[in-house]
Amino acid sequence: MIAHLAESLGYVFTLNVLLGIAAGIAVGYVVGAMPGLTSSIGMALLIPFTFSMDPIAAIAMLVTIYMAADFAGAIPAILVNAPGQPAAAVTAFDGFVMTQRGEAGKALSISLVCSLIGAFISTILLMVSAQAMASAALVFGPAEYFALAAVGLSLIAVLSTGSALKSLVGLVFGLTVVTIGIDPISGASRYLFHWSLIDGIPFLPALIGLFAVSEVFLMIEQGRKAMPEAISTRREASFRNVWPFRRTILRSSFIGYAVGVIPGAGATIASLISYGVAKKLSPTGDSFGRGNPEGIAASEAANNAAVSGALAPLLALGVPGSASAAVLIGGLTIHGLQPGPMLFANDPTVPYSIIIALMVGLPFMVIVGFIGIPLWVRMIRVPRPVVATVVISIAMLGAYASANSSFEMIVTAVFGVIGYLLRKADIHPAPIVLALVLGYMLEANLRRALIAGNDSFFAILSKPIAAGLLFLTLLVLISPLLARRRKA
Amino acid sequence: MATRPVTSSEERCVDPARRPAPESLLNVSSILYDLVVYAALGGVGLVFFVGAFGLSQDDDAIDSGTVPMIAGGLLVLLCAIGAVQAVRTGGTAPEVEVERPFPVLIAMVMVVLFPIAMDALGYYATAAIWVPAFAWIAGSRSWVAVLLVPVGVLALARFVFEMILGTPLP
Repeated sequence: MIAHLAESLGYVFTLNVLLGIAAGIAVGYVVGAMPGLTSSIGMALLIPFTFSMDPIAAIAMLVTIYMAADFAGAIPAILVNAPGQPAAAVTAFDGFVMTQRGEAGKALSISLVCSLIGAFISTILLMVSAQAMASAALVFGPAEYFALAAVGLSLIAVLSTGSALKSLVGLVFGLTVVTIGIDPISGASRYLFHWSLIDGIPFLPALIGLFAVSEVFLMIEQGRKAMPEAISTRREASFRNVWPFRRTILRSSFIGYAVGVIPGAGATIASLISYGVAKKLSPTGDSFGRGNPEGIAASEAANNAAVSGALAPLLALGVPGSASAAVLIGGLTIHGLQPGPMLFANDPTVPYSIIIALMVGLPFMVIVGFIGIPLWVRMIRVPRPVVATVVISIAMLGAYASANSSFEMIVTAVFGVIGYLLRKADIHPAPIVLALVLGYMLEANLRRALIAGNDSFFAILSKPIAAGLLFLTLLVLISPLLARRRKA
Repeated sequence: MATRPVTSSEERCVDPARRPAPESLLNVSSILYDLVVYAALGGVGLVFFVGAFGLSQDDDAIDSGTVPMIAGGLLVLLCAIGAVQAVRTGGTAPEVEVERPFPVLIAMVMVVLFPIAMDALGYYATAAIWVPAFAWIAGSRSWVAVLLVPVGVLALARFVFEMILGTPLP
């Protein structure tokens, strides 16, 4: 491994590859900071430009787009409650509250440093455990995926900040509407009010609506009232500021990497699980969702760690761990490289060059973030009506760009109105998003597991990983009751 | 429901010379608002619950209709519990406040109409009218902002979305 690493270092530290990394970071920041544009869209759009590039430079550029987009997704989430990437929705829970308190700079700094640590730790983990982790993830079948989705949904017990009943109403509303579309098993159509719903409610436009558009309506309520003055300096971007959260960051990095390895789980689920666990274990867990910086640390460390995690099954087995990793497979095959076990045997410099590109890209991304913090914070000084107009315009453009269809814009608008009306009733969008992320995964895998187990639920419980995850679900669900009893 | 003017203390952050005219505040009883929300969500649940009976049934333990039936039924049940709780406890807060209700309502209508207008007129023509109108409704009274924001948005659409990212806009 050391010999291949040394050889790959030589490949990466060439002008072409370094320029590719710089371009990847620039594009990654743009697509990451724009609600509606995901890293996979950015990577897919740039693949045609890589045809004439050296394979290592091309792959390094695509990989850094993936990583930089996750870095940048937190910026609009923190500043205007409009997550640039779906995974950054969790960052907005506390980040936007901090912005409202005038702590936008601190929130951005914590996000930057925790993203860096999460990405660094997970890249090291990728280097030493890619093959082993990917093989372990292959054990996951429908029963295990169902149990994982159940763990995710049970987080409602710890994620909810206000009325538990209202959080549950939001969650079940999400679970209800997520059944719209083609049945995942039989192929029957369900509640197809419009043919565009054949694939279900498009997640990204719904997310943009629930967070960004509903926030725009709240901004309009405020009219020309000034936003809270943001106190921000670059000095806040230090390791000292995140030192109190070291355990959370470390734990979240491992959770992010482990969840990222599981194909299909992705950064959003990683940050949700990590946030839920941090809230549960933190002595200040009660203030999560009310501007607790530890919430940002948990979310950002996990979702950035999930990027490297998603690359493990791709490099070791040829199985993409996320949509962006699937696009990366396209990029690799265009250059005549077949990801999977043979990649390590036939072209060992490619996987190691990817790992080194991730490492080399990190300081570049931090520098861009470090320079950018005071600039982004200045956004707060822009009059609220202007911010609202820019956010809604970009949100609608992003919704359109997610599928090149105006139907996505309608979904964004409708979910924006729903999100606003529900927020007025103290029903937060987070449980709805949780259900939209996990609902399909829960139903499809439960049904697949039951079919495989001859309609017996015991077939699911007989699988050790699934049983363990379901036990964890039960523990998470009853933990608030136990805590209340202990207090009494 | 009642409306009252916004107090001056609520506008303390605004330059007095440019302070907007007092705008309205809509107060809705939180019990009433909660009941309306629960009724709407319960109605959605009911549609899915009843519709699930018409979905294909097969011999599997869980078929096409099972999950929507459970989720829809549960939503109806939770909304019913919530409604009873709202009536018994008097809601979670004394009142639900909506500042500047008419601009918010107009903005909602504008957001819903944007994709429809875009399909008919194209993105650039629609945005050229819609963006300054939205900025005005959002509360911007600076002509510079009302004119510059659409220019910025259209430039972003053209250079970032169309030229760099290759997203064709209608």
